[in-house]
Amino acid sequence: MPSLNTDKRLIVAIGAVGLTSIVTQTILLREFLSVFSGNELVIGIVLASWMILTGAGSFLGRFVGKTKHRLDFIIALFLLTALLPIVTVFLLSYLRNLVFPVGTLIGVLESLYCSFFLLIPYCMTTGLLFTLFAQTASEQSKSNLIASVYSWESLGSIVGGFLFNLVMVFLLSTFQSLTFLTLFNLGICFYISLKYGRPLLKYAIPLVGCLVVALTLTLNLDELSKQFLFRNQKLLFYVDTPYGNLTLTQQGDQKNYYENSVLLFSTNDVISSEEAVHYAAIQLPHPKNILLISGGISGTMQEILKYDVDRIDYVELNPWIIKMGRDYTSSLTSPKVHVFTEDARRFLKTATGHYDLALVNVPDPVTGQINRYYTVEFLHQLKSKLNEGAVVSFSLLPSVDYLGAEARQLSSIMTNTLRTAFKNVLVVPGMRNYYLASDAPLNIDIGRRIEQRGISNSYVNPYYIDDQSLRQRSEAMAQSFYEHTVLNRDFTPVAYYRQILYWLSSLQFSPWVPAGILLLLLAAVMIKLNTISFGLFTGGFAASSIELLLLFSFQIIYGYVYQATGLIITLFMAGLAAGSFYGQKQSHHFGVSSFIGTQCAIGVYCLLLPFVLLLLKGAFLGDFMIHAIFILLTVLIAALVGLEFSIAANLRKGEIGTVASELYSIDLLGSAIGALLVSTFLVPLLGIVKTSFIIASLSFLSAIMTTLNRKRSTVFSESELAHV
Amino acid sequence: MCEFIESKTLSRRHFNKCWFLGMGACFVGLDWLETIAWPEGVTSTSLLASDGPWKWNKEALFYTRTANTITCLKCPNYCQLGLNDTGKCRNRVSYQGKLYSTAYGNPCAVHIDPVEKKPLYHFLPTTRAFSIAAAGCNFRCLNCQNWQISQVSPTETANLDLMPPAVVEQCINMGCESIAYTYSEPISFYEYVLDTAKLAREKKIRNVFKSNGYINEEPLRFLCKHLDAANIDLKCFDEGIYARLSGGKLAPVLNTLKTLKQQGVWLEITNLVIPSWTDNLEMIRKMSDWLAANGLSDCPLHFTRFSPLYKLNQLPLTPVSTLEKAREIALNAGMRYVYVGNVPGHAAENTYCHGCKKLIVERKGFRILANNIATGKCKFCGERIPGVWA
Repeated sequence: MPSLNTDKRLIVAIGAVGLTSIVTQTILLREFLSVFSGNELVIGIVLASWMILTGAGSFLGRFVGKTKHRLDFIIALFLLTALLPIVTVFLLSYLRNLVFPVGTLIGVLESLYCSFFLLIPYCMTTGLLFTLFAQTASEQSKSNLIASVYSWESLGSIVGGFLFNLVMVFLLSTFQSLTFLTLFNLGICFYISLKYGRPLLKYAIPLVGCLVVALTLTLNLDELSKQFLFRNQKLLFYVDTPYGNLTLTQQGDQKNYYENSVLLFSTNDVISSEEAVHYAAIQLPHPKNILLISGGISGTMQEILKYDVDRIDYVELNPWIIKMGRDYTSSLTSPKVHVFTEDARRFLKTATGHYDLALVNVPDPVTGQINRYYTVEFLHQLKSKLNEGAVVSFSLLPSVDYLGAEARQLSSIMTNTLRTAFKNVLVVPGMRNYYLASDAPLNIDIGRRIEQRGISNSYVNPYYIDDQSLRQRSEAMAQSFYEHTVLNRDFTPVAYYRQILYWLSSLQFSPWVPAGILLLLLAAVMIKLNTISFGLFTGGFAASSIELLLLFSFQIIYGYVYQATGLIITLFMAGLAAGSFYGQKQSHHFGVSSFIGTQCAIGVYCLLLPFVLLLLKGAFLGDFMIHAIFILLTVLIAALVGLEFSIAANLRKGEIGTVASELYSIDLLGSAIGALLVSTFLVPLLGIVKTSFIIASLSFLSAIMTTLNRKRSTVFSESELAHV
Repeated sequence: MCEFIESKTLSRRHFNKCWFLGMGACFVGLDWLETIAWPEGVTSTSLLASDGPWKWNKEALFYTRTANTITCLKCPNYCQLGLNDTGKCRNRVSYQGKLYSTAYGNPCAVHIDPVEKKPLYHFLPTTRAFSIAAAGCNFRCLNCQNWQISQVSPTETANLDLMPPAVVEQCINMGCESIAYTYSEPISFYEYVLDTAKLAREKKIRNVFKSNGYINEEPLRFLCKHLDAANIDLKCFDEGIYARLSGGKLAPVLNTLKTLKQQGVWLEITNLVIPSWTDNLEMIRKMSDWLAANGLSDCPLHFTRFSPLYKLNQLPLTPVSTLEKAREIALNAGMRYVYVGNVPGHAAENTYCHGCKKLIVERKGFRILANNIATGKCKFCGERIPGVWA
């Protein structure tokens, strides 16, 4: 095996880059999501920036690699890799309110240029390092080790993935994790500089390490960065949880609770608390058993308890929200309240109770994950746990006096989806628009009913709620809805798609602009690339797309569990590494036919995937089987893509630096476009099944292209061998 | 590299052609999908037709014309429009050397609201206002709660066909005492407001103007002849914040306040207290001092609570204590009637006589629980209470 000739120090350093990248990427995505209060489009943008910049860095490597002082360069870049993650995350929080007006929504273009500029130093550094490592390792072993470097980096990512998702996320804060990462990398840097570095570095690197420790011990960077974000507010509590960052601030006599910088609620907000409960609860003469999905520490519990209820089952995904509720509010003190910290869809699978009233207080369907609470499947699951004549309540975006085109379509989807499970649907316009559904009749005379029942409210009462005006607004809104729309389903999340369009319309941003740019990029790739590179591009595209499809499907079939999500991502990296290692080991057996075969295998996988997922969704399998099948599906696709990269690395001829930079950057470009297109357009608009077919057709297309050029490919393969 | 993919069986050019055609077909397919998913699109009823102005367009008032451009004189934006250009408010279009309003008789929002909702607390209490809005606004407020109609043109909203006579007729049929021009920005649909207000006056219907006050003095004076009450948003008292928050200027709004007062239009002022933007108490003191010094101390001042909306969605609600401090500052500066809004059940929803300080109007929401004003005077001390009470 050629890699045996490579210095172990280099292998460790490459693995360290992989580890650092996966941890930094996870933290940065979380921070971007929090600071920009973004959705999956923002995640897609950040990921795309990440991959494009890393690709650009590796592309530049082909020029830098020719320098005589390549090893000095590697050590300098490694030092940067150690220091840049902590600097980048800090700058993100620091610059947020300097560059953008305080408290404002950050738009698509702003997210794009902001993530792009912030990520340039780190991503280009690691991209450069990939090419330089590939060159150095290949020179040392006198063979093409591009695929091996790819595998070592992937191995580092696997370790990083496990380390972060199973340990660091639970024990360390954001900046503690980043400090650990910096010290770890400085250690590795010291280790490689002992052999390759200049003598001065033996003293300089420990000194830098001491400085970092001194700085992080004297400055509480976590608190400092939060204070930049929450200006003019006193920071009372913050915690980084696997589900996002929770922050509690005080301003005057008011406490504000945030999740990922989005206000969950403020104290003394009686309007929101009362609307969330009474519009629905007053429809029932005697609501006894209540199901509350999310939002239980904001004051809604006190409102529910105004009715003579027997039991409230409160389901909240994030256990830290419950902790915050217990520590800082009196919401959960009643013995009638029973808390369940798990995904509501998982809860409903095992729940034994039957409910009179179900209040679904989840946010708008801004992500694929949240969309699962607005689908036909969820409604039927929910209904199976309801008593006869029970009432359910959802709420969507506020549209005080007029529903714009996008809001109207989203509301129409919501109403029509509710109608698949319930006979009656009533819209109650308020600070948010509430959608009540029941098989029993629903009544809009809310003010009068509240007064008749003698419920003492500050806002939902006849003094503030004019029934006549409410009826007029409700009817006007209902009349404006479209009668026939696509229904929001698990595998075709159209509400999520409409929510993205609504968000874009608030930014006065046409969704076809990014679509057009992606299409142009895709066209440019088609024109510019040769068949091997195009194959790799489609491989990268398939890899990131299928990874997202698997994550999304897992959440639908099993429910959202943070560790499982981390596990799928990590296993994906493991599959990549395994496929790539295998390809490298068997390189003498693999030629163009194998490349075509791999592409076809990816295509067949994508064709079959929807059927497997539909079967899984319909079957009643145990948790172990679901996990096992998803692990298998994840490892299989990743291994195929890893193998494809490995074969491509052997088929492509040319100077190692050039080939490594080209293949790596194309693979990343494919992944970036795939991630963005699939998460923001294809799945929301076409659903999982058709998206999978599109990915399959792209893989077959590249297989056909390679087959048609088989002769030339073979010639190149031989000349490639001659060259090496 | 280029010759690599050339082959005898399928040229790259041929392949690319097929691919682009395929992608084109896919996009046509997507469009088709959209069509079957949403059979009823929003239909616009107020386009400036290519064959000339039509029903929902009316030649605008207050503009000048030079050889190549038209300058709109209605508001301090002074938009200069070339051929077929649209103004900043999105509903004034230059066409064949004339300026047209495209927001005439085509309201997108029509509701009946308690007059207190505007808010107007000293104007015909507990009566109902027939409220209308056409799309468009001359501001770009980051916190606009009606951005879906204010930040678009009438061509992008679903509109009703409601010409001025029909507005007045519906107002009477619904038993409303006033017509409120509200929700978006009535300055931007000025001609529609003016013609409706004239007709309403003839039928003894009052006219209520809910506006940002960003209008030039001449058009304002012209309109004042037909207005009965106005509530003006005074967003803050700092030119820099005004520009960043709304894209407008403070000075013209202050001039509007003075003009409305001079012209005898009943005036109330709203100040939305936004955390980190307009909650500086020193700025609130300066604003209150200015209002009192300019003869506006009788005008009710409403400090309202902010909720995260539109582009300002990463801020907390305004603490009630901040609103209470602002109220205290304004009262100390000489403002006689200062209210706190969007805080249900707050004691500062009530009216207290500026003479004897006793509670004279006890409010709960949009209802009055106790009214101690008789013939416009305090029942306890006889002090005249400013307002339009009947």
